[in-house]
Amino acid sequence: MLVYTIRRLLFAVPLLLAASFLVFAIVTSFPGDPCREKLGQATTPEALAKCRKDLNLDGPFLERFGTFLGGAVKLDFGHDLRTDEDVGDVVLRRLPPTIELAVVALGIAFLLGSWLGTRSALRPGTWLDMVGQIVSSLGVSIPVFWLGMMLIAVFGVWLDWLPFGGWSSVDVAPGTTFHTDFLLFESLVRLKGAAFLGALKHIALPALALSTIPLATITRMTRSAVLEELGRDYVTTARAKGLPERRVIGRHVRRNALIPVVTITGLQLGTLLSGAVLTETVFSWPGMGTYMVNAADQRNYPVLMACMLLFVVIFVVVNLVVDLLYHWIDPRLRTGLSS
Amino acid sequence: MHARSVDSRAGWLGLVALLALALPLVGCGEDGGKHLKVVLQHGNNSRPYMPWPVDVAKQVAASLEEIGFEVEVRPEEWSSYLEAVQNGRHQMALLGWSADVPDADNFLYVLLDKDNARLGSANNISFYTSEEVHELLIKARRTDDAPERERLYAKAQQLILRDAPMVPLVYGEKMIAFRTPFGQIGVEPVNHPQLRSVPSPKDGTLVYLRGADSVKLDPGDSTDGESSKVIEQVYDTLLRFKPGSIEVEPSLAASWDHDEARTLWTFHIRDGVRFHDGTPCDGAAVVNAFERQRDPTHPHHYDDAEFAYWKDLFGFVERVEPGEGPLDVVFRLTEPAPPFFLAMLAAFNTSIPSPANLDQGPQAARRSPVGTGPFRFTSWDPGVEIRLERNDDWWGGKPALETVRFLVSADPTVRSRRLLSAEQADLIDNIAPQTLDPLEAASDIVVVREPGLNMAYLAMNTTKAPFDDVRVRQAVQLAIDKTRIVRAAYQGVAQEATSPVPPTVFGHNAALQPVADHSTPEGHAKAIAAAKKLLREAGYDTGD
Amino acid sequence: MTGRRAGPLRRLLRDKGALVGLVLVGLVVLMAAGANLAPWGPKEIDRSVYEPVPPGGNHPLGTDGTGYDVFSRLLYGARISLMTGLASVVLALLVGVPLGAISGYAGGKVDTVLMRIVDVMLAFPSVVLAIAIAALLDARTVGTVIVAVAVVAVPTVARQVRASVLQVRGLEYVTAARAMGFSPQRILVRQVLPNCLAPILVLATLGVGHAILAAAGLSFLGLGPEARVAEWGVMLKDGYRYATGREQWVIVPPGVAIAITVLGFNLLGDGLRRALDPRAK
Repeated sequence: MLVYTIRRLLFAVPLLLAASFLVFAIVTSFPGDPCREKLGQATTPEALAKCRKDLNLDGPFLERFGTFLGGAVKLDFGHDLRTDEDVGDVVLRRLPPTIELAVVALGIAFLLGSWLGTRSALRPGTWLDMVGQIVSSLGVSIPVFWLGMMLIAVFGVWLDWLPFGGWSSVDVAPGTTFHTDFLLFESLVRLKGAAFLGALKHIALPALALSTIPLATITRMTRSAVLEELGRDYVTTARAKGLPERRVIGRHVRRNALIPVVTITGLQLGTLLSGAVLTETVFSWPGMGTYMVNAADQRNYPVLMACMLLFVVIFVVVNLVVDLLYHWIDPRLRTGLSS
Repeated sequence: MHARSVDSRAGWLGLVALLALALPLVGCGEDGGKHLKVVLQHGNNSRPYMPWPVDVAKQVAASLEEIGFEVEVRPEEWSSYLEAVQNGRHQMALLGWSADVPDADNFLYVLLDKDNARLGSANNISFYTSEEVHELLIKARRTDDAPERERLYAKAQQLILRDAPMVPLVYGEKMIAFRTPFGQIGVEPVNHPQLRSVPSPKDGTLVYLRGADSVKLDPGDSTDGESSKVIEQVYDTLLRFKPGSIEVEPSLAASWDHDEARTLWTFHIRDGVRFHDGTPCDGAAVVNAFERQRDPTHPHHYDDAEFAYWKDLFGFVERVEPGEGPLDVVFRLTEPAPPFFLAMLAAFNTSIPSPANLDQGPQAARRSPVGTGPFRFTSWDPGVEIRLERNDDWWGGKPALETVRFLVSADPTVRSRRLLSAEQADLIDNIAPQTLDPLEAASDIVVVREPGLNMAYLAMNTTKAPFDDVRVRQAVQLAIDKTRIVRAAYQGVAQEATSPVPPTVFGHNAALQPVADHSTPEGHAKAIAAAKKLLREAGYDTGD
Repeated sequence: MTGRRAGPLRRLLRDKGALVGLVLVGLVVLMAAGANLAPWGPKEIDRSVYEPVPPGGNHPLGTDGTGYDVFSRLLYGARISLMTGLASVVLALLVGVPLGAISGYAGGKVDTVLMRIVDVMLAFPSVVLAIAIAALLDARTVGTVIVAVAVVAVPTVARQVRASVLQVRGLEYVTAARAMGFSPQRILVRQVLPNCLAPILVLATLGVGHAILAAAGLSFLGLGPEARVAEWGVMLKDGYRYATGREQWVIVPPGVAIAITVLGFNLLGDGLRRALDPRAK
């Protein structure tokens, strides 16, 4: 296990290096001169030179890449071209809303998907199984941004049940002071009931929209995993021994089937982050997604680099953790079936 | 081997079938080319004078297509767009102008004088170089005689209408809405609502809910509206606009005088004014406020600050220096002051900050401002809230409000909804037109709307075909359906423009009539026919 | 054996899911083909309209706020979506298939290097990479979207093709061909690749759906074609403002169109997989 862990870690480092190289290469080859754009026409050569230096635009490519990497490790990405804010600071402020959105969406998808998948597998051919199949087909076919808009239209406007915009402490819980940007988690940990409820209401629609993407895969995977487990010998044995069906399913089948499902849930993160970018745009969510989309639109180099890199790091690290956990949970794989 | 061939045959068949889906696409190209092919460029950002540039582009393109143009619309990222049009790399461009000073000069000289048509830094992106207009504008710049200036500007606007280097589209409107207990908050033509005179109904707090946070609160170095909204409450300027007007009145400067040549101006600062940090606001502080913007070697001229307003407008100031008394400030100019010089000293960019605060460096100047204004800055939670408290010692008398909180909510529908339910919102601005109805219907909410100091226009590059032909430009001027633009692209929250100078600005020619009436089918048909006739005269095919 | 394998088409037509997919795809193709018969042009404005008009009269699905006819733009949009989906898949195949095939067949260092590159590209959430590429191309056209979507799809294609090639290259007839002294190129093109066609077809069909979805997403984010182009994602971007207003129905048709198209290709792809490889789950 230790050897495997080290091997995986050693593999992740060059991967991240190469990915950050790609990020740097793409963003720095954007057309146009960011300094000219920032300073306008009436500028001095000195100001231009200083800006080029600040933005790390001078010198050989590899050297500049080194500078970028050196800064990135310290979370120093320079300053926003439009607002002059420290990009590292903004990223730290924008990451929590994205994390909370992703976690809640994944939670909804996991609970609903594993329940629906198990039910479908236990009673194949019933209406619930049909629902499961439809969910798993539609989940990957419906554009998540459209679903978000429809949720806003129906639950936000028509029925007027839930709010559909605003994720600042003032929107969520007027009068409450937060110490972090994790509005939902913080209010939960500090047991602030009203604030937690407010946060829950505000996150409900975007999280629901986003959850449909992993929901489809999780439902599908659970169904086939449970079906597979049901066919195993121990189930037949357990049943033959006269164990109550509920116990067979609850204790054994579901537990064993959950291992691959948990893994799949973790590996859904890539599509989840992709979906988060779109979902955040629909709900004006103050997270990494909206930050990145705006930056791409304005070709705001430092911001775009920071966002892309951070998305990659999150993606790679979570995949790594899921992979390691999987190997830790499932001893069959420790021997290294997948290398 | 046998099984393999079956399998691969199925694969080939499938791939071919998949590609065959593209068959319906064959021949979907558009029909025959027309002679007038143009590219219409626009920036993709929302601006005060053009909240939905895409919608304006769609309507303009449709109008042009009606008279036989083939139009390619090209949206571009804002700064590269500006660079392209300032270098004349466009045929047609959508742009607008918000006034720095409420004077016709700021529109006509900036946007349509040959002095501003230099490639690379052009604000006159039509590259319109009429000598006739130039003479009128320069004459109007050199005199202080208001009726004479009005006459000169009226004439210039007439000539511009004839030459049609641009089509003024609309004048945007400013809108605010607030809860009735706050009395009558006015929309100021130049500034934001002035909170110093707002009554205090309940707990002494007013919550100003807006769309975005301020960027930086250093008055000399700010350009965005969300920053000036706060700056105007915290600082004072030498002069200020009378409520609801573009006329100036004394503020920090109690009085002023100038020499015969209008090149030496002395301002007498009000006695006994103190900054929020207790230091006195005297002649030296005022000199510091201006010299730091002018002089690149000044310790308060921070390296990364741009002082854009000063650079753009104060080129004629040689230096600002202390006068005879400790409360006197002298402006030494290189040329006679323009007639709108005093209005420039009422702009938020010329606010007077505390030198002691500027001493602490850019971070203090930008994030914790100290001025002399009716409200003092207390805290800033980035992206969430800026809090101000009443300045009990304000020289103009104690304001009624005790606390002002600027809160942020990006979504305009959320802002309207929160105002309606009095949920952390007493005053909102940047109101989305689609949320206007419920606000206007509510009995406890007042909506105020006024034309702003801005104008959106369609520029035609007069140095490029086909717009080097005045007949083509006139045809475009006739064909553009401003009525539709106001209704479909501004949702009614704008006025049709008749001249490049908005009616709120000194020098607007109110006698100019719209060139075409598109509000009725007959009027529209007549305008289109007239436009096509002009195009045919110019030798172009109008597609019928 | 031959008897069971001879009828992929018949198996496909007996597959309920695939049939539904076929019908949905057929519907979209019909829409695209019928666009010329649309009552209004894709950029034609109804001058009597200045805010969204509900369905009825001479606008079967109403209009948007600009004055465009939603139904007509929906039909023209089918063309653009089909074209985007197919073109980006073809592009991705043109690059990804050789990459995967070479990687799988050559093995060794070549394989390692190519697969590491693929790993790096797969380390990006797809939308993130697509956004960056679209911003890099800096032209608001359908072409930009096609390229961005194709680039993002390349690593997936390469990896899948490599896996199939690995499977095939161990088979007897390939070994036989090698023993007969044929050149690696010849074996790859004549023996190996034709046997990977089935999985490639499945991949391509599913890929069209993914591509259409991704393209719509890019358009929605404002990185696609300009607003006058009758593309479904563009229509949704424009309709977004009505989601909170009174004219909410404006956002329904383009979303349904995208969902139907993508669902169609997905069901068809899954059906094809079952039909071409009976052992698949």
